[in-house]
Amino acid sequence: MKCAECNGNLEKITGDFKSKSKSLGNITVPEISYMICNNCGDILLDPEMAQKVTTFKKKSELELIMKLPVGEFLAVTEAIEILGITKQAFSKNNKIRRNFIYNIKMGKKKLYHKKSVELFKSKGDGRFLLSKQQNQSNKVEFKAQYDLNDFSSLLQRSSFVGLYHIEAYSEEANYA
Amino acid sequence: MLKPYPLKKVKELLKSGHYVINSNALESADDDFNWGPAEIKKCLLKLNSRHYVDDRTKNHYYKTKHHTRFPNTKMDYYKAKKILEGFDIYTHFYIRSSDETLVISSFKEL
Repeated sequence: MKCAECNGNLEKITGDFKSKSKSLGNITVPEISYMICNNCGDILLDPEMAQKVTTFKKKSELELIMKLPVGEFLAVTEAIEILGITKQAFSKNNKIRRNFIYNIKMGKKKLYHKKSVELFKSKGDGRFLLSKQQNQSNKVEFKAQYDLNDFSSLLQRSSFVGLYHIEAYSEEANYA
Repeated sequence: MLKPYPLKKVKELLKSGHYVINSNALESADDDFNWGPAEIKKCLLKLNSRHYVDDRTKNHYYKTKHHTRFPNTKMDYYKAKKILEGFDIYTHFYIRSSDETLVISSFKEL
């Protein structure tokens, strides 16, 4: 099959697939089948593989958000105050609804990451690099900022809210 | 003047899974909207063939041009405001004649 970009030959490859995102930087997704042009490097993915890449990214992102120190998260009222908008404008903002601000769910309450809120205010996108890039191999390192202090603050926060269950924003997404 | 691909056919290819997404389009959909292929598909299924210049708020079809390197392949360009979740999108795609597959070359914020 010919590449529509340069007329080179499209080759089917199964293996590690390199991609990038704002939250993860450069990542390698394992076991992806894709077509790559041997001339221009253009890559095409079928819907199933594209979904697999997206799911991998979202899942990795969630894991890293969960590992952020819970003390860095704000209640919705605090986030609204920083943004200087109304509660209605906050809840209707399509980018906030699409998780352009990192957030976690504690029971029924959503908490928003402070740095992400501030970034969203200044740039319209609160996503920042969550992972530490691992040497030259472009693999995401999942050793995020998580230690015992974070865990105890998580427990304090949880008991303050009266809830012990914490989950990330993935209620509508099925990452099973 | 080039005729666009019939949207009905484009949507049939989408529904039947006969499409591929360029990796750059997938990345820009993620960067610009936090969307994956499911949202891209949903969005393309909502496109209409009315000329964008006639009503920029409701119409989507923008232009059809020959592919830069493949003169026999034409590429359809669409611009759609508030098409899904309030986002404005810009996309272009073509149908690969060799196997009748829809190739989504670009998908980003308008």
